[in-house]
Amino acid sequence: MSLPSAFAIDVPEALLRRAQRGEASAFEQLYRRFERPVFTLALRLTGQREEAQDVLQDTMLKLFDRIGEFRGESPFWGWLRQIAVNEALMRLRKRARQGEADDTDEEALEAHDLLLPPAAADAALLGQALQRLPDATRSVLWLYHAEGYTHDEIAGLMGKTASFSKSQLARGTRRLRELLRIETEVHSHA
Amino acid sequence: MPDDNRHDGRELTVAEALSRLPLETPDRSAWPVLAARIHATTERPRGPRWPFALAAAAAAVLALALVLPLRPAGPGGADAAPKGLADAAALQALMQESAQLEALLASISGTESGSANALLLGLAFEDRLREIDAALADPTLADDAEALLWRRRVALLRDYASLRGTEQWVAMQGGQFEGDLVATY
Repeated sequence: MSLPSAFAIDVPEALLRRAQRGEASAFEQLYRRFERPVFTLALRLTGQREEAQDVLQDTMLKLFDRIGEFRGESPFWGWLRQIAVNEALMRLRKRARQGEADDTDEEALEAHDLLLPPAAADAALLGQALQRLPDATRSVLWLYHAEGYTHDEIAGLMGKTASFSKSQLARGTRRLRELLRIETEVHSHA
Repeated sequence: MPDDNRHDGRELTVAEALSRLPLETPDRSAWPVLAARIHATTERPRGPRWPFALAAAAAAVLALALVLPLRPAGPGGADAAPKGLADAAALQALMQESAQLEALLASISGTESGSANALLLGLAFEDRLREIDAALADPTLADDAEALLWRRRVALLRDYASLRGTEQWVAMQGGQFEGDLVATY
């Protein structure tokens, strides 16, 4: 089960109304609140800081263009996150790196597979291990565990099947365990 | 700090580990680009020239009103309150007109053209109005100065209402406010 997304920031309705009226100061406040969550999500999905920078910019420009369409039927942060996810995945599709991910079915994870070694608590080591995963695998892992999307939702976002999402999750989790186990052993010997 | 926990020696769920990762900060802010976009005029088909000139004139009037400093009136100067304006009835009339103009502006809010120039002028208008209201809130304000401030408030509201009306008219004709207007301001 995923923990609350870093995106889950409540925004006062009055601020949203001001932004919808086109007030620049309201947009600036929205930008400041969501700059880092958008950039972080983009970085986790694309794996590249420069590309994440582009996703941040394009997401915020789309926010400016489309905020009039936001009806308040769901939390604002979820609506903005959807724009950011779409922007990031669109770039992955353009890069065509998703083709690098293996589409073959992966054996389902056992309960013990779901735990990561202690090295996972080291942000730098975990970040490096994530970087070594294929883009699609890392994206599924992040969307499922960090953002709380379901396999069906991820499949819809990525234009794949739910079983693709499940396979990538299983493969990514196993690979992450391997990478971090090596790190744990290296550090315990050091 | 996430690093502080790595010697706990316990395993973590994937969700727990990922949620502990700190938020990343971009190498440069994207706000300047967004701000420029907000302030840039949305490209729309140009309307006929004369309504643009009308809009420019209206904006120029408002711009002048916005940049006029709040200063005490000199004796006999243009800013001097007319004789008798401090009279309670005259003041009441100004307050009433001010309220009517505010109601008019409220009734047309939400129908902005969306042009960045109109937005900028709107923000400048609000700033100017806040300045006047702050000055009016001074409990030691003399009667003459209060009357003068109310006159300025009404003039500003009139100008802005006129601009908004013109803006809507120009938008209906397919025109837009352009950068020159803000340059004037």
